[in-house]
Amino acid sequence: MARAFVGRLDEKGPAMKPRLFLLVFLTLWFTAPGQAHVGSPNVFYDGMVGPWRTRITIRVPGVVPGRAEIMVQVQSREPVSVAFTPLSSMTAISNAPPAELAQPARGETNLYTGELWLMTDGAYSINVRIRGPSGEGSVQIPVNSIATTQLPLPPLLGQILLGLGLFLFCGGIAIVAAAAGESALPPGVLPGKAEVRKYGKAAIISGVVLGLALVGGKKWWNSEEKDFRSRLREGGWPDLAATVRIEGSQRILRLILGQTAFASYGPNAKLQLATDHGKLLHLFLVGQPSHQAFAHIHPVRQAGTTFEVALPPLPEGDYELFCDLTLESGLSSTATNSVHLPAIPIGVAAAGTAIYLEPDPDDSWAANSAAPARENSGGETICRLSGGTQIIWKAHPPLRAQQDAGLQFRVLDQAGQPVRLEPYMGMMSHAAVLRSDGRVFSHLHPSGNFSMAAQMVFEGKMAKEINPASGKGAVDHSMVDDWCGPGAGGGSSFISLPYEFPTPGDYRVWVQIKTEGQVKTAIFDTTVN
Amino acid sequence: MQGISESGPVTSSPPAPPLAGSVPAFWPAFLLVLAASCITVGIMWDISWHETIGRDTFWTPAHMVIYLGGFLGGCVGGWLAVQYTFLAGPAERAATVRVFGARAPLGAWVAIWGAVAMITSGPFDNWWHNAYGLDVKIISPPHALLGLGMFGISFGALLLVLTRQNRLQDGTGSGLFIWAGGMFVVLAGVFVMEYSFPNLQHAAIFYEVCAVTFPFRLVCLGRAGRTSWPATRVAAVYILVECLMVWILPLFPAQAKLAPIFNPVTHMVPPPFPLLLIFPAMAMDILLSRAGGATGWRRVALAVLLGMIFLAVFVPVQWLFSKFLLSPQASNWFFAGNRVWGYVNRLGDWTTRFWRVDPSDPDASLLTIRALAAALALAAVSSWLGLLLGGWMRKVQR
Repeated sequence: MARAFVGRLDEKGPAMKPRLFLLVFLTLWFTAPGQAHVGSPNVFYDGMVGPWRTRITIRVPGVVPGRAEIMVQVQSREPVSVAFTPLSSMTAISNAPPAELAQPARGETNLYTGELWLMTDGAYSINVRIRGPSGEGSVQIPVNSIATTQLPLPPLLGQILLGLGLFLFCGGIAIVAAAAGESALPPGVLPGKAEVRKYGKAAIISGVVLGLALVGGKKWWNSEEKDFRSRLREGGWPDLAATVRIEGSQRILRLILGQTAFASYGPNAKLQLATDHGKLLHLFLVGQPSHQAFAHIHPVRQAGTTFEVALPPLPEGDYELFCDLTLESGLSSTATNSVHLPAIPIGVAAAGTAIYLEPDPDDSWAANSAAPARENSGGETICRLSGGTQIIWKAHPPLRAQQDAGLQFRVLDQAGQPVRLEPYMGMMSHAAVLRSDGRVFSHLHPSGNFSMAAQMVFEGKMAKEINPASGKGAVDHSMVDDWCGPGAGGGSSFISLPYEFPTPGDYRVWVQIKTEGQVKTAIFDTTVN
Repeated sequence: MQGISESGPVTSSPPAPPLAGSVPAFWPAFLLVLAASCITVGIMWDISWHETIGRDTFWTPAHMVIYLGGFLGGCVGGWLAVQYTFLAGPAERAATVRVFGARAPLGAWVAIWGAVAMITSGPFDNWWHNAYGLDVKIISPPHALLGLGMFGISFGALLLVLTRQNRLQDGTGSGLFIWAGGMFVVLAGVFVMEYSFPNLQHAAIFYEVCAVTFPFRLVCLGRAGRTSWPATRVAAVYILVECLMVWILPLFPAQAKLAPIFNPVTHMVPPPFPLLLIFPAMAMDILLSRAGGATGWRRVALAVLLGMIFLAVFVPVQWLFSKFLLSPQASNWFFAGNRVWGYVNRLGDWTTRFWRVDPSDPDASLLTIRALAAALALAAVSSWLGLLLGGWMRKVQR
């Protein structure tokens, strides 16, 4: 019988060692580690919190436990108070710790900052609550708490530690030698030959003991580092197997998630996923090496961890895969791999050809539909799409890593008139960001880059616990407007995507919009310093 | 039983009168013992803080007490080094030991070493947490270095007290010695706390860890002390300090500040009730009083006997007492039976069960004859080391 997994409540039992500091890992819910996006762990939100338009940035720590830095920019000059509460997917909302009050940033009137400890591996939501004369409101922003980076030992600190360590080593030998040679002599008595011999013997023995302790300590350190690295997720997760086969007129991409990561659960285990915009998986294909062809498609489950999708008419070649998923715990992740797509079977578009797998109506792709627009720093950058639609990246300051990416766009028609945008899977836009080396990938929406599914998991959890009769979250996401993002209510032609490029480099940005029932994809290239 | 520890061969020769002007001052010893006490109480308070409130800023009162102890220990040791190296007369300098050309009592040097180790562990630990996160482990390389530093200050305090006591040879300052010895044992108890929960007290691992840790300390203090029942008194101080923490900490309301919170605690979480070390300590005192000064193979035989007597008393006492501690009758303010669980513990019946006693459990640690033999071997070696160190400590003059 298949069994569901992604996490289990790990009850502490007699077999578990009581760990002080404090018995933490022994009672914690094991959650498979993951990382929303690749190489871009920070979380951004842009939307309404109560009556205030708010932009929130959460810099997620690279280790666990670690401190998340939170910045809340409230678009108002009225005095407000901002508080954060970390909610864990493992405990009841009523068990949440007291809220931490954010501090206003010096010299700013509407920027509030604070820190929260994320103590365990797994899914968290940070509840940001704002109170002011106009009212109050809160928003849940899901974050992943997983180890993603390893901090190097700064050279200066290394030298200081080496110096102190040397002092301790030599001092230890000298003290032991003095203890053996002189300490038992009555005051005033000079050490004789016997004492000198003892002194030398003690120095040699203590030197050997301390040397062995240092060697043992280094081995211990190496072992801890190995353990840490086994939990470190620097790239995609879980492992993703991808194959393509021809079925009639279709190319079918088969994905198997977590063959290694979930091996302990058995071959028939079912991966419990939360739906994100109504889809279990969002798969992005990016053509290699030019990154010209691009698709955003939605595989469907065939078995526990096996998913398939009919490929759109992308040209033959090698493709990178980025597969976004959200576990039922609220932990989101991106699995990665690459695959070779064979040529499109002859007759793929012929009427009456047998269909093995119905394509998802929300699948979209772009292959040579638009030339990439090179970002024009200081001015507007225009990407002209087939049919005359123009997507214009508004002028912004030079782009720098860890600073606002200035991803604001206007959509105009051929005549230069604003285009009425339509929701595409609940959002006014979807965007993808890829660094040229493929080490950074992120999936963005106007409301932020976090997983909507994870947000719904926590909102549903909160709603159920506060009002068990209701299965709905605090925010009803059936209301499309709530999903569209600020300034982009239905019909607007303006898109704003809150984001910061994590590192310098050359990036490609795909911006997807829907108009007149068609999904269109604009491509921008930019360099981030 | 007056003079029980002094009736053996150790003190058979008449004590030599102390050299005029060479008796160390009381205050440095007192301040160093105070430093060791700050560290010991601070670490227990800090553990409770982590169990109740979670990780907090560096500037918590518990951290401040620990670092006050380290600072005080380093300052006292440093001042003694400056005083005896640069300011003291030849007679006083001749009552010290030389390290790197400078002069100070041995206890001061050990305390300085401990303070430097504590200082070194600070930035190392900070980087460690930033690099690896792993704060939940009490035993990590930087924590081990911190523990060594604490041990250094605690041992330095003991040596300074003993220097004074040994020079006077009349039991002066034995109260300070007993207190310092108690802190030395409490500190050891803290570092093995994760193996000494009442729930583990039917498992072999608990007795093996205790066999390594406590005979060494009780024997060494019992051997070095110049008062009656030294090990017993030291064990009494250990129990008193631990009990005070058990009773006082829960008087303060507190709540967890970090998620996830499995157990919404409302007051500071106490440590488990202390081990009843006083009973094996009494038996060891009696044995030491009769054969404390043994050397060579007689010392080996004495160590085996001490190990046996430690286990013969400790195992049944703790076996039965832990049953009581896990019973509902112990769930009160006095024994803190089921009140020792922090905010990270999801409460369940596992809290009142013995752990690692199920033979089918791969992590089982059954108290078999073989395990008892292993514990005896460990206790004997631990006692032998205690006899060696205690014998030397009894002779320390500088």
